[in-house]
Amino acid sequence: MADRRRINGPAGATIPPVFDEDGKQYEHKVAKIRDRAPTAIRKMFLKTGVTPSASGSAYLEYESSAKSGVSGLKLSCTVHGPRSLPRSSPFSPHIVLSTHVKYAPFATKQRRGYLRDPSERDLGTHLETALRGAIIADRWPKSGVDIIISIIEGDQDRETSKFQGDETWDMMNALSGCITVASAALADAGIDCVDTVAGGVAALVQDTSDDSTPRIVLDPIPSEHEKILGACCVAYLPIRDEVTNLWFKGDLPASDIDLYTKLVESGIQASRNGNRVLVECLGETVA
Amino acid sequence: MATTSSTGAPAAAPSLTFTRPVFAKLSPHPYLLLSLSPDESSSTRSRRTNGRAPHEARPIQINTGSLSQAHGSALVRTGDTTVICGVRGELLPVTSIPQFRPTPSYENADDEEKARKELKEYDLLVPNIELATGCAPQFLPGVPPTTLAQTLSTRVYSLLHSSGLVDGRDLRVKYRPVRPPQDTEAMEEDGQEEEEEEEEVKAFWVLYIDLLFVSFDGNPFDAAWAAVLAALRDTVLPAAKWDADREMVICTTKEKGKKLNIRGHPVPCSAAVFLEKADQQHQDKGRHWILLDPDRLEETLCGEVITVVVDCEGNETRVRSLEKQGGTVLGRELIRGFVGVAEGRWKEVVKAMG
Amino acid sequence: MTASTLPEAALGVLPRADGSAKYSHAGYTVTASVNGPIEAQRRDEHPYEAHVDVIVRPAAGVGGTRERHLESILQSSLTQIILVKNFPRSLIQVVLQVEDTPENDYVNTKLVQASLNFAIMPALFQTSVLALLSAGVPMRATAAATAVAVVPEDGAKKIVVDPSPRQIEIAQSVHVLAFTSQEELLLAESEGDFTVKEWDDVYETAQKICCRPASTKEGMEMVLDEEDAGGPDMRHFLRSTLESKVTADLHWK
Repeated sequence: MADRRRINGPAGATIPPVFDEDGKQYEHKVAKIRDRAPTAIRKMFLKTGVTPSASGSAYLEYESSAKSGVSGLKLSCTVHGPRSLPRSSPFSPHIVLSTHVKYAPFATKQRRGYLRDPSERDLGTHLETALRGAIIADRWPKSGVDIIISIIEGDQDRETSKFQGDETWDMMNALSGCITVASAALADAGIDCVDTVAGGVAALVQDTSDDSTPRIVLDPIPSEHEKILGACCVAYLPIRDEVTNLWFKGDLPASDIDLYTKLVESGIQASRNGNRVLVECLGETVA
Repeated sequence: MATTSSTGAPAAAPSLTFTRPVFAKLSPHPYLLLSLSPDESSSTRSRRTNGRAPHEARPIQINTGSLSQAHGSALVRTGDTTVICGVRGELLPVTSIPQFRPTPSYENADDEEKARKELKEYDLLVPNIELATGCAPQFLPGVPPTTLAQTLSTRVYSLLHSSGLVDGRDLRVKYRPVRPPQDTEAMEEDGQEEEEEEEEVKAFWVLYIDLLFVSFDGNPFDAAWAAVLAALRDTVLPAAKWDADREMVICTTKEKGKKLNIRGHPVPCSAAVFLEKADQQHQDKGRHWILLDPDRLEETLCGEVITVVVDCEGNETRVRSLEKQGGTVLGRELIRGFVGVAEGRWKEVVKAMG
Repeated sequence: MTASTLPEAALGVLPRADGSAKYSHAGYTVTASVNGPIEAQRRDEHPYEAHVDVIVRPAAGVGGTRERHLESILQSSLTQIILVKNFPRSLIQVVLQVEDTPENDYVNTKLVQASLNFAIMPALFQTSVLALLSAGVPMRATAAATAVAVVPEDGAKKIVVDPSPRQIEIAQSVHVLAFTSQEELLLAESEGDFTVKEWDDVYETAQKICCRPASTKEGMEMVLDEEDAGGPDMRHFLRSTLESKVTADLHWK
């Protein structure tokens, strides 16, 4: 049934535009080569205090890739709380995190609806796990904090067609961004954490342009690579050397344990890089 | 002023003093009143708690085209109110319109008027406002849109249609049927060439206009409408053609996209009326202040609000919409005067839009 | 337009509500019920005044964003005329059911339309005021609303009171204005394309309808007089409706 609380538009279904070049996308793909070093992550812009009425807030933007049509991830995060839990909720000896990740309707190639879909809920759950390890939760018994992230623009190529299955890899980049921006917003809200947690992504990619041996890259953009074999997103606390959340996905030979370790290590490396930006930004705010 | 800071209070006097934010939170009405009516003796002018004069609006900042996934986008900032608007076109084939009539009954109306009716009848403009982004403590996600969000969406929708901002002809995807060769001769004999070649509308673009509040600090309608206007002016729809063989609309990036033809520059200007006496029951109303571009605190304290949408493009100022409700202070004279204030705001906003 | 030009109203049509009214004019028929002051829900409770809750139900289907907008307009206006400070922590509930709307032969009317419907606002407004009076809710003043359209006609502009849907279609601007019985402007909603001068003319027309000074003429003369003004006298109408209701109620005396 149509949502009565929103303006729904025409009764008939609308179709997103279909481009005639879709069939030729594979040929174009080779042209999109990653111009960063495999160990370099994209430049980031991070700013806190974008929503003054919230307890804490932050905005994160990734540098958009050189190729036009590929957008950089843009995220806005607000933190509300800590505040007392509603009367109806049961007693909690520590702070209750509630995370909410939502793509803006105009954030991705396909228009997103206003109701959260499973992938957005998934992101929220991962984010909660990543942050729970960083917050000193028992300082606020019987309290709750809301962490709300709006993904203003996703990390996608407008022209890439859908069947390449980019979206699962995009989710990893989105999660990594969510972790970093939420960490900045939590610090802005003055919620005590053991350390600043940042996200990082590493992927095992295979390009036809080089000698087709798979290699590990940090902060991958799916559209820049021919094939992604596997990827992992790490939430990492640098001072304590702890991983709070690890998300591994892909199709790798089970025999090569080394590969897994290497991928996670690269993820940690990406996270360390992200963390530097985070700490620098927070330092500026304090100064 | 009584708003002395607690740090400055002498230790000997046990008087209870609050810091400004505490005073504002505990009793907002006297706090704003005190600020607006300074002592007779002091030379300070009437100021609002946010430091602005009653008739001073926040400067507006507009960026367009910063989003690449949308066909048009704008970011508008006025003070601490930040809103992002993304416009995205999707195609509605005429076959999915239940009561599509290729030649509507109002065929005597000219084409422009006809296109305007199409916009409304087929619902080709879909504005929605999302407030539940944590943009202010009262707007948390996980709940259905509030009355405010629904009201704002309706106001934007109404103004989009009543102002005729979008030219409906831009949203048609037409197709000129190619005559099969065998028919050509027969038709030529009949001399009915022109009728055969008449273009028919095969699909319409539907514009999804989504607004996301990043930060909310009062006066949402003015910011939202400025974002809609700027985003629509930025919108470029891809070149689209009807493919008769595949029976669908195919877009191409080879040809340059079509920029929307946006008519006019309607700009809203809102104000709220702050009354000296919170109690409105008496005939004697006391003093009042008209606060232009109210912030979040002021909005909660004011009952009466006014929004005037003006367009000063031509020689004469045209009013495109006027909404006043919630009080009886603003009468005929004040509203007439307020249109003049709106003209001033129009210049600022249009300048910011570039 | 074939709809009768004179408004009709009945009070106390719903026996179980505290107050109710049925009103029809210009093709619109609306029934309202008022209950209150009653206990407010916790989230609506206001420590110093009564919460006025307005619910608008359309003639067909369920309410959408447009109904929410109408409700918020009515709510802010009714809060102004009801003595809400007399009933702290309570609720006054106004439910408006649209029963009939004028047929429109020209436009394909859709069930759900988000655009604001100007023509229905006066009917909703009048009905809620009548129902509030019928419920005996203390008010600072009564109020009346009217819809006015500026329609181009033979090159000139003509002000039409209570426009038909067809007239609204071709109108350059449509206005709804409401005045309290103290002749204060309570509500003004306009859309379209107009100048301040045009709005002034509209204002005067609307003011004539909503708050014509009590006439010294009586009976038949009064009716004839209305023909000239081009619109019903709303203040007189509200008063006479109530008077007849009071007379009927006190008939046993």
